[in-house]
Amino acid sequence: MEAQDLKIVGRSIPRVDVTSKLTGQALFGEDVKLPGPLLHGKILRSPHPHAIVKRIDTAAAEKLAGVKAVATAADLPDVRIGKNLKDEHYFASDKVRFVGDRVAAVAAVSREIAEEALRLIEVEYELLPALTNPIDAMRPDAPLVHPDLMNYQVVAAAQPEGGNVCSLNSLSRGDPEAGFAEAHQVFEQQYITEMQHQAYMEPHACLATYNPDNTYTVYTSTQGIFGMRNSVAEALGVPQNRVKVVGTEIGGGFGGKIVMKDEVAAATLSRKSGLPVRIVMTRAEDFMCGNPRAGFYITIKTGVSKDMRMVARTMEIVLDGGAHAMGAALMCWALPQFAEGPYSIPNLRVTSRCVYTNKANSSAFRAPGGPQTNFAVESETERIATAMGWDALAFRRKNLMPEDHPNLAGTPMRSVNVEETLDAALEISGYDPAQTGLGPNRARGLALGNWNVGGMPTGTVLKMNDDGSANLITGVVDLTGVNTSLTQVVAEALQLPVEKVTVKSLDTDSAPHAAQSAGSQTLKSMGTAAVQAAQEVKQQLFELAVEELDATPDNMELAEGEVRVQGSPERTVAVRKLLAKHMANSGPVVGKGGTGAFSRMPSFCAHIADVDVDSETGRVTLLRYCASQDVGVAINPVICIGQVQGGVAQGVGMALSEGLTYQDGQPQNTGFLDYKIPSALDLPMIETKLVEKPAVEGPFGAKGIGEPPCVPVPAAIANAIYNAVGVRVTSLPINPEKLRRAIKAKKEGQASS
Amino acid sequence: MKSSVKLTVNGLEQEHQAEPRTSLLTFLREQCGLTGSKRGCEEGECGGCSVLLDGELVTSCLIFAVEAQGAQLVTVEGLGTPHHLSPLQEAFATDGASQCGFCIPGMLLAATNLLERNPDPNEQDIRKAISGNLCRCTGYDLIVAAISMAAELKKGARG
Ligand code: FES
Ligand code: FES
Repeated sequence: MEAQDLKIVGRSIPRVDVTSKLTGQALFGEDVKLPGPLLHGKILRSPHPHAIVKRIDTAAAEKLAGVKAVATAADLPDVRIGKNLKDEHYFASDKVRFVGDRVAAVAAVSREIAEEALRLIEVEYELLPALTNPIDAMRPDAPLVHPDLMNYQVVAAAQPEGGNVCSLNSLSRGDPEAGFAEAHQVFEQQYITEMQHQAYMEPHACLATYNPDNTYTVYTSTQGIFGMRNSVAEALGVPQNRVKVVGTEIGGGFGGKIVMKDEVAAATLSRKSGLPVRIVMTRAEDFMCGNPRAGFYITIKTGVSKDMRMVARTMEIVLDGGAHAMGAALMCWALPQFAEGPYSIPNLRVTSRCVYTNKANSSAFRAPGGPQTNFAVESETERIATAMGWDALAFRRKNLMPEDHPNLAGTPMRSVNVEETLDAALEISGYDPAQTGLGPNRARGLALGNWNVGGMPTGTVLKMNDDGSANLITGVVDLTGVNTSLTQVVAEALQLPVEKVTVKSLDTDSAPHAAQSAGSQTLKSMGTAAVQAAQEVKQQLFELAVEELDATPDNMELAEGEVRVQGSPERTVAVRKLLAKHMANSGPVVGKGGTGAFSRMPSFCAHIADVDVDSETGRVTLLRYCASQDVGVAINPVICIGQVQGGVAQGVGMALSEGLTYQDGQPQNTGFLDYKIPSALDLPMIETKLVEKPAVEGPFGAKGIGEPPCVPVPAAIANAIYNAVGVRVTSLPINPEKLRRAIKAKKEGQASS
Repeated sequence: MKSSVKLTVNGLEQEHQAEPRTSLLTFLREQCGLTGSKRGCEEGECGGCSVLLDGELVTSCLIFAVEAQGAQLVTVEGLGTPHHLSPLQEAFATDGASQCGFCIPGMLLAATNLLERNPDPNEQDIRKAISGNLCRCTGYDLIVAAISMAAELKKGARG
């Protein structure tokens, strides 16, 4: 890509939504107000992990004073729904499959009355044995979570294998078995990670109204209004044009606000009661019924040559999918495409299985599958180097992926800036591979990471106003500052000051289809569409100026609100004047832009964690954290830095404290007291370096960067812990209890040998 | 069993009916119509509902509205206006301290309270002061930096 002379792209302008967020004016899911009375909805959720529903009796609840409507499966069409595999009834009808499965819903004049009504609903269950571990679920005699799996309709991505395996994918190149046979040494190890909840600060919240024209309006805190609309319409059994989804401000999502939640219950209750219905999850409900990161069981086997090459590798990955396939099935399909990590291995096979259990439905969480596989890959890098007596950094460098390296799906990886990114992290931290120790029980650990960012179908409309200012209309949810970056992209493309560009996220009735804010692709997709729309606008303006400037459109340029003839700065006409003169005949100037899906291209990162381990308690303290991130071009550097630091913080949680635990199918930690996410006291300053080298795709060469920063964190910390105390922990989270036991075991082992 | 609760929020007197078990948070959000204070957990764990009650930082989800009878409250809506942000809000804006913004009302009140008690906090003081306010988006760095910048600005203003 050529050097670009950018004026607005690359500046850290404050986020366009910042004032509303700082003054408490921003309206999040629970904040939406409508005129007139409003009902409070509550959901009756299964207390059992696995049971047949024999009978539901709502008569007593319906009679309670203050109750305005009760809804069950009987109020919805009898269809199975699901984006990848149609394996779910919106309200449980035949069976409940996890604690929290939706059974019925109530709307009442107060929350207290709604809760009281839930207690009056009688449900007769016949209990079934519960599966809380995917390995058990794969045994031939395991009870089946979905006995009808093989008859379910596959929509996309999922490839049911049978039993409890709702999806299987395996890709390979070369001949891994021959590679192992020829290898100098072969290493094998299992790594285990737990379910991690997104723990966004805003619990799920929605409000729905059934309107007199037989349409529904749903206000909800979601990452994608179109995906939500399509799901709601499907479950309600109405055409998509009859559902309008309005995205509220969203208090964090990280992948956890993609799948539909209680919106259909609210819509149904509104239809039955004639009043708007709001449903807000309690924090416990949100922990219980969210869509966490899947727990992984990874068996990784690696063959290395004498000259430090990884010559063969297999990865057998089992995902804890929870009760329904959802996003975990998509992840299962995508895993083999990126599990190779930042490396190039000639003989490689990655097999992934998504397995049903009686737990919350796993789905997407920031870089789905990334941190789990990276924990295995980058722990192995160091474990192998240590065993072979190699410098782990040199071992990495020897095996890095080159430009145009085809992934297992055959897509060549482009803009491979892995080496630059590694060097940047080494530089800011002062990392010396020969000196990872920092004193007793203190050390430094390194991990590389990557995440492949695609793009999703997205459209936009750019309107020129009479005074030469512009409005971009999108259906994208502003989750990570994308409207700010889009403002910069449009301002740059039209050479306008940012004050003259407004970007608004509208609802599903008003905006062209847009992808959800997820997959790190939001700016890449929408920014590409916006640049296209700006090109159209420019073209239209240039054509209007042909007469005035006596020049052809391809000789014109746009600058400072004027169309100019290139090279003759005196031949100009103000856009405002052009519009005033021609609007009556030619109509308004409006540009459209749109993209289809992009193939997935990698963004790299390199992280270095400095830790102190208390060998008595097993407590790990982070002393320092350095992160470099390959960004292509930073449209807004401060937003990029914020993404990196936030991603690191979530990775730290996954590494050291977070994991949803279950006992006999009962969730054990459904509040912030037991499910510990990092507080300000648990984190050091996160020193961040953005590595800029324009990418071949993306607006102005920007890469997707939202997800990658959480990928290498658990491995970097695990490697640092090993370097500090000589203990390699192969399961997450590395909480004090686990590490204390491991240190103790090591000491006892040494004493007895 | 409803009773009348009268208090002052951001300098304006408010009087509404409340059930004995209505939390101050619900009272502020639903009776007073001030939705800036956030319901993140209702267990005193996230800090999203933090307000200043007679100058003290409290989690309003754990206090009954009736307990705040006659109190002086400050919520995020009382810190500055969109047209005239407080210096602390300005610092958050320029430093990029807010991402999704859900934790920000609570953060701003915790920081306001800190700067009232300690005009010259170091990094550890700031981290301690906001340790009851969880943020899932930022990793806290830019929030800590913004609070420290606000302290500097205030010092400058005092001369
Ligand atoms: S809502 Fe009060 S502390 Fe979380
Ligand atoms: S900015 Fe999102 S929780 Fe703090």
